[in-house]
Amino acid sequence: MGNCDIMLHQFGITGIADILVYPTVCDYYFYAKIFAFLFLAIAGLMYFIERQFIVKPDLISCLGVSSLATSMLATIGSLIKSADGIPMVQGDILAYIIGGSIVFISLWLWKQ
Amino acid sequence: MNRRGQAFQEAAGNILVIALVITAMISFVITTQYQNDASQSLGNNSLFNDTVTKLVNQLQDAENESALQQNLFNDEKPKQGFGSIVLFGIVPAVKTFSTNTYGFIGLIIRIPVVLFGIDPTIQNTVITWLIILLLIAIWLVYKLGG
Repeated sequence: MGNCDIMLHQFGITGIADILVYPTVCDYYFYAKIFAFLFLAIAGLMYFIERQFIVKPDLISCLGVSSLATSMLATIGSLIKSADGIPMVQGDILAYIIGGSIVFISLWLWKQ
Repeated sequence: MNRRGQAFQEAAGNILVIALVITAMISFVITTQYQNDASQSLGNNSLFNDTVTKLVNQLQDAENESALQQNLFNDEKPKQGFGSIVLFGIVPAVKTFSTNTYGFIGLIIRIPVVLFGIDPTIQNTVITWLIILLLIAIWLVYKLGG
């Protein structure tokens, strides 16, 4: 039995929080990938919606707003924890998300 | 005042707003996690904790310095120059604000550089570029304000 199988075997699901935390048991960066995808999806959606109204939408603004939304969602994710106290979004994953958000928000505000 | 003359106050103002927004964002995350008893709080991360503390102190210093510079500027008696009025009080005021601005730039850049392990060469290049922009903007303020 691998290390991941042992962890899965020991991980008991007692509620919704446990279901949400479950993917991180074997893949530590699961929610990092989810939030990265979410960030690009929100930014892309905003960009293409804005293109219907103006000829050249501002990509930096879309990225800035998307990073703000992603960091807020990641903060909420860090509050959800399993019965064992494991958070859905780990501390260092949240740090990476906030660090990345700082870059895009800084670019957005500098451009304004 | 033309667009060039506004470059320094725009740059310094933008950096001040960025510093304020980043401070607010990190403080919001730390406070929310603290109030909801998060198991792995961002406040435990020394990089973020340290940066927020320094940003808050820097913002308070900037406020105190700007009040001081405003008093000095108001107390100065303008002198008649060649075809214009000469006010030397602008020089220390801009020097003070530029020092604060450099401080903010260093603190803002620190988080992504340390977190993502960015090469110091890139960091130094970005800081060099920003400093050159600011120096040119400061020189334009002196030149146009003379």
